[in-house]
Amino acid sequence: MPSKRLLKWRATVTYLILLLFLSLILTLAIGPVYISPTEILEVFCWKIGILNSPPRKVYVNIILQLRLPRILFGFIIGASLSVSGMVMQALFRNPMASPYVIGVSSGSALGAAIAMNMLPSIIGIYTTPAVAFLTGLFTLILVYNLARVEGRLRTDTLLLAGIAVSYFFSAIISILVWIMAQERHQIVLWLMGGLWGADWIKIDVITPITFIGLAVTYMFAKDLNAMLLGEETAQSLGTNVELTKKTLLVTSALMISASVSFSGMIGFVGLVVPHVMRLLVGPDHRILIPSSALAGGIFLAWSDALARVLMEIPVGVVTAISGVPFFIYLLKRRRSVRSL
Amino acid sequence: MKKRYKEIALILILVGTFLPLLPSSAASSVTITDDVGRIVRIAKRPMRIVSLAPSITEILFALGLGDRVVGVTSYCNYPPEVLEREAEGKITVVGGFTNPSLEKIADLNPDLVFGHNLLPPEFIHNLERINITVVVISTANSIDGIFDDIRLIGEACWEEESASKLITDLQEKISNLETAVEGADKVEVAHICWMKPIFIAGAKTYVNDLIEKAGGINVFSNKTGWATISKEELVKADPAHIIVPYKHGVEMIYEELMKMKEEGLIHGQIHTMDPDIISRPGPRVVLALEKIINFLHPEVWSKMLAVTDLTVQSSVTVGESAVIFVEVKNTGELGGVKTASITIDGKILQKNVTLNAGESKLVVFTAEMKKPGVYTVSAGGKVATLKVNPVASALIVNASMVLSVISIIAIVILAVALIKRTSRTK
Repeated sequence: MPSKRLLKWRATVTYLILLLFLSLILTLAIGPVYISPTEILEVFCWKIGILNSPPRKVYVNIILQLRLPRILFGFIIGASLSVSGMVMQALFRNPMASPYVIGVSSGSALGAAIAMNMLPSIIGIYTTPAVAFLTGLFTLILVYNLARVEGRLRTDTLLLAGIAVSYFFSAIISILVWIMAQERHQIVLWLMGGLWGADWIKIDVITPITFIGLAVTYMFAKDLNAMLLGEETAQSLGTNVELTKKTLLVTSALMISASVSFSGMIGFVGLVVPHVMRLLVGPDHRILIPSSALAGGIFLAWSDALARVLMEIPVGVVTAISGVPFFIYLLKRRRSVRSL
Repeated sequence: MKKRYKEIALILILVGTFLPLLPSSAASSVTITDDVGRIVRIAKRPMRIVSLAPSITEILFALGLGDRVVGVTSYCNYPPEVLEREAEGKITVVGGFTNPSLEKIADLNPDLVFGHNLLPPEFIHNLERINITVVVISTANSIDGIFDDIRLIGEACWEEESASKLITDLQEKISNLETAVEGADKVEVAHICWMKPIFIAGAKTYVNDLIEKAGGINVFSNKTGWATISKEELVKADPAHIIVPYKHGVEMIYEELMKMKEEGLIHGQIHTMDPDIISRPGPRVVLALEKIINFLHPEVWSKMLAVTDLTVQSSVTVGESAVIFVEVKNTGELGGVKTASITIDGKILQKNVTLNAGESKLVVFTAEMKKPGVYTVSAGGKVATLKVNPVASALIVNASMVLSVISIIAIVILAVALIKRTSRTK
């Protein structure tokens, strides 16, 4: 029986990886500027040296410098958001949990708002993401210490501390938005999130963080399964509950902070993709982690492709509008199956 | 952020002053420092320009570079030529004000993109990354700032001459308007551009400049920039004139203020204005200024017209009406009802005339002349003389008229008699 389950898991992951590649190819062809498949192929052939005559310079730029980084960025950020959302839901045993409940994202947002308004651009355009990342980490330390009682990390306190801190930081952001007249546009735009800012340097920075984060999370897959039964039970099943909580909290926070710093607060992905995957592949984290990562990436890349075409509307709008009906459909179907 | 830019700008200015000393700096390229301190080299005369702000689009078209613009934002709607060229497919809309599509800009293959300071820095960086030349123009916060923008845009487009021509033209028009309201009493004004919260134009906004030049006092000049105020502050200031933007979608501002006025909280006149004109620091600054003068000093504005011709009958007789033709021209940018006036021997005659911007019309004045003599007629700097003859000559005229009437009657009688006779012989 276990081998059959393993085969099923392998099939799921294989399908999702195939879907990922298919999405990469298809979304490359989606954008406000129409570039025919043959021309896209020419660009890549020229890039890897098969084709000698260079294709139109404009298309090379659009494909290799604008579209490809955005799609890869979507894969990576989608993966880190949905996996960290999944971790939060498991740690707090709360279906409402999303990557943004622990307050790290509000910390990053506050850092970004401050950087946009007050700080000189020390390291050029990367000042805002860098400051956002650092304030995200600072928030993690703050929330972590607030939630630690006698050396133990209590999940209920963590949830409350996270929410309290994020409300507090949101209030400060509101003050900044209120005071600043000129930069208001920028902050609001940043808060809504988007992948249009993607470039290769950002991808170089975020890829290792995300991959390490995913790997670490995967190592704790079995412990997360145990945690679903409650902390005491998990402890009695041989899980080091404290270590699991602390490690996963820090890894998720790193991933969230990195993605929020680079792409703003893209909502919905981290909340709903894990639920959808739980409905589709089951609650076992050994399959849930890789499939959530892949599905989150695919979903965000497609949503961003749509945002590109629709006059660059915030990608969070696209994720919510396109994802919610599907999610409700799944919920409904599950309920009817249950009632049978 | 800005401090650092200033430092960089200073260094650049220093470098810039010594650059001409280098032997090989031929005029084959233009190097400029944009509003955020970036040095931009423009290697050839830009022929494919993308504008990412409506005010920049207006400036480009005012400089006569409209046929070189290939991309604009969805907010760029003036001059009407922009929309025409969009319909013809010669201009592409690349997106909104803060979120234009990078791909669309790249696809246009522009040789120059004009960005603005409200675009995220990453956006500019992404354009640079694909080797697109970008010049960032900061939103002007004074009328002089508009001239600086025009100059910078002109330099970047290799059209310095037409830029300085446009600036001189605008400056002249503005100073003419300023002179016209010089003597008028200053009135208290507020420009409210949003309600809930109330946003007003404080000092260091170009609207503040406009208000001051239009013979007004900005009651909120103690605030800086576009600032929020509470309702209480507005009630306390209670300006005599409030200028609000009005068009589809922002009726709320006007309606809220009218409600406040009905409730007796404020008492000033509320004037509405097309936000596209007042919120864009561009070449329509003259129109904006004239509009505000029209609001604040309608009596001054209505008299702002040029007399292009004055014709008077050579002579009339006492008791008759003299007819005086005055050709007036609305030299301003705003149409409406103007007052034309003439002076006959110290007496002022006035007549209202509706004139569109730049329109000329003939206004006919009639004045009954009771006393003989030679009168001086003047209108708008033009002078003519009118001779009023004594009654004697009037008698002659009357006699000749009586004579002609009699002769006409005689001819008619004769004709009738002739017709009757011919019909009888038949």
